[in-house]
Amino acid sequence: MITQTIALKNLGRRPVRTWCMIFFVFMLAASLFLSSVLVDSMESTIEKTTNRMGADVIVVPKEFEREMADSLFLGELCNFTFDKKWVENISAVEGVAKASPQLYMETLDAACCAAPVQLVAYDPETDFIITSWLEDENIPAPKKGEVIVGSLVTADAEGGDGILLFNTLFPVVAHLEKTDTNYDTCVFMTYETAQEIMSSEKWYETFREEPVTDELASTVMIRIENGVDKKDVARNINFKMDKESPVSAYTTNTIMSEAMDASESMKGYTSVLITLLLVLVIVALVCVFTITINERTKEFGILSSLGASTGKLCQIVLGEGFIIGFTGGLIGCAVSAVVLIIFKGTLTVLLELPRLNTGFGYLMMLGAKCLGIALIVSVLASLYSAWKVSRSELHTLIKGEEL
Amino acid sequence: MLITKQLTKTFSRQKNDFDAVHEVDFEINPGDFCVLTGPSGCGKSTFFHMICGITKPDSGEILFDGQNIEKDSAQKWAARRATDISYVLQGDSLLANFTVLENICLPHQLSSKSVDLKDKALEILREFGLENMADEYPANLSGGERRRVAIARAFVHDPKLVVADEPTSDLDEENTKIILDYFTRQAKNGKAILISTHDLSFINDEMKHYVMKKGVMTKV
Ligand SMILES: Nc1ncnc2c1ncn2[C@@H]1O[C@H](COP(=O)(O)OP(=O)(O)OP(=O)(O)O)[C@@H](O)[C@H]1O
Ligand SMILES: [Mg+2]
Repeated sequence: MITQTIALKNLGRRPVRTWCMIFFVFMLAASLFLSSVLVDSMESTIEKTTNRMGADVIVVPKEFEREMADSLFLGELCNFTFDKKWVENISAVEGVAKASPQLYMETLDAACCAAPVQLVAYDPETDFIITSWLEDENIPAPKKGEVIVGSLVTADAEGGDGILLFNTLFPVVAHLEKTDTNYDTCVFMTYETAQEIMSSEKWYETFREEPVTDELASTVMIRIENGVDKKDVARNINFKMDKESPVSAYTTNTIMSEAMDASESMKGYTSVLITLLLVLVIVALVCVFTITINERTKEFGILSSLGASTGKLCQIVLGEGFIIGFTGGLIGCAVSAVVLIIFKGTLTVLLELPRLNTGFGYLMMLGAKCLGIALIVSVLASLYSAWKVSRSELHTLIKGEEL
Repeated sequence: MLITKQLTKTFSRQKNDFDAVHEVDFEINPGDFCVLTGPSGCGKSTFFHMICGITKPDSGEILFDGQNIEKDSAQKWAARRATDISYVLQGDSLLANFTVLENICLPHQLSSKSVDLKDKALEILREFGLENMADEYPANLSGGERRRVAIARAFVHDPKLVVADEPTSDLDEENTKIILDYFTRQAKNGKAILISTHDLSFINDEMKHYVMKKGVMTKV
């Protein structure tokens, strides 16, 4: 279209100014894109983890709720324990439908093991979490000496699917589906298998102790009865237990609340930042557009005196806004996406994030959204100039006066 | 074809109102070559602006082909300038950032009709001896050449009336002659031509001569 051609030509005539405007839009689009990925990633991890875990109330050793949250949310390894005898008392509390202990062990980044991974032992008799995953995926329950691994654990032993844990090779009987939670990096086994590991020579060599798994639990996962309030159950557990009990109960939400708070405050910061940036970019663009248009009043006057319609002249101005918005937005989204994909690992460590959403479909959708906003901002900024051109009288245009 | 009745434009300067154009009755018809002379500041440009829809008159009427057009909207006037009435601005009015050919074609591509007159433009450039300058930028043209381009631009869409404000000012005799000859030929072909000038020397019997003084127009 002729107006687009002229708009392009006008922009090309002032390359420095044009690239500055594109840069403003680029900054806006890139910040919007990156901050959205961060916030979305945090939120979706919290949601997915909560859903995957499927417990209503979690019991952990007193003052270890933070470690539990970091383990769930950030995938930090943990190995806190308490005496398993308390599980019975907990099961007996009013409102508790199911209660099942889990035992956490961490492997070391040493020759003994493939990599530092979280080991999770569960009790098949009471378990309602891992068993349900296995049922969903048609995986038979692991027998003694067998393990099941999350989708991101690489079983890399030579000659078959196995994983080396404390110098013993454990056959991997199944890989779980990818869940995008930290459960993807865990190795699951029954208490019996855990005992095998803890009785190994390497374990003794490392920790100088011979624990008995039947006396140990790290958490108790609780499913509550229908119609009961999670908070009440957690409160009941804490209240009914002895003063000297080593554990406290939390609702899943409370455990996750710190992560949720972090994500909320991140959301807050980024929305303030984006709003500021939005205002700044709009003001900057309006200024530059006004200067550019004032430079060209005479040109518009001449064109109009020769029969050009005001609508077409406005289209030229809006076209310039569109081109700047589109170019800046596109570059902004593309650069951010590439940066995200290339520096994914560094960024997660730097920002203490569990993971970053870098799915192609998600990035495309987000890119489209950011590009749309960039376009709206830029066209809006040029709209003011277009409005001025359309409103001014032809004789003022011809004189080349400032609008 | 175009008639004005009691056309008046009042400006104010230092709180005093004065009529830049005062109750002008004027008529121009196909084939007419009218020349408007008068001292600087007498209101020639103001009058031209009114009959081309660039400035709105304060009172009086403008009739074009029998219809009152003085109250038409800006869009209607723009469309009229793209079809029936062509206006050549006083002074240099080429767009510096566009080539000669673009200068001629652009206004019409941007008009509400959006027509491409490239072939016609090349033809008219040939008539003015500018065919090898079609892709030149105005800065590389002489003053006389630039003026010829501006005139060519006014004729490219075959208007009924061409109004040119001082089309020959600052030009040498040769360039003046080229332009006047072109106007004369076009008038003979049935176009209505209205120009203003300070130079009384070239006025001949084929032209209708009007004089303006302090906004008042009289026929000579
Ligand atoms: N927008 C305006 N506001 C106030 N006065 C104006 C305006 N435009 C023109 N005038 C005045 O109106 C009078 C007529 O101006 P106009 O431009 O029509 O003169 P002109 O005959 O074309 O002169 P020249 O031959 O120098 O071009 C002048 O005194 C001028 O100062
Ligand atoms: Mg004048």
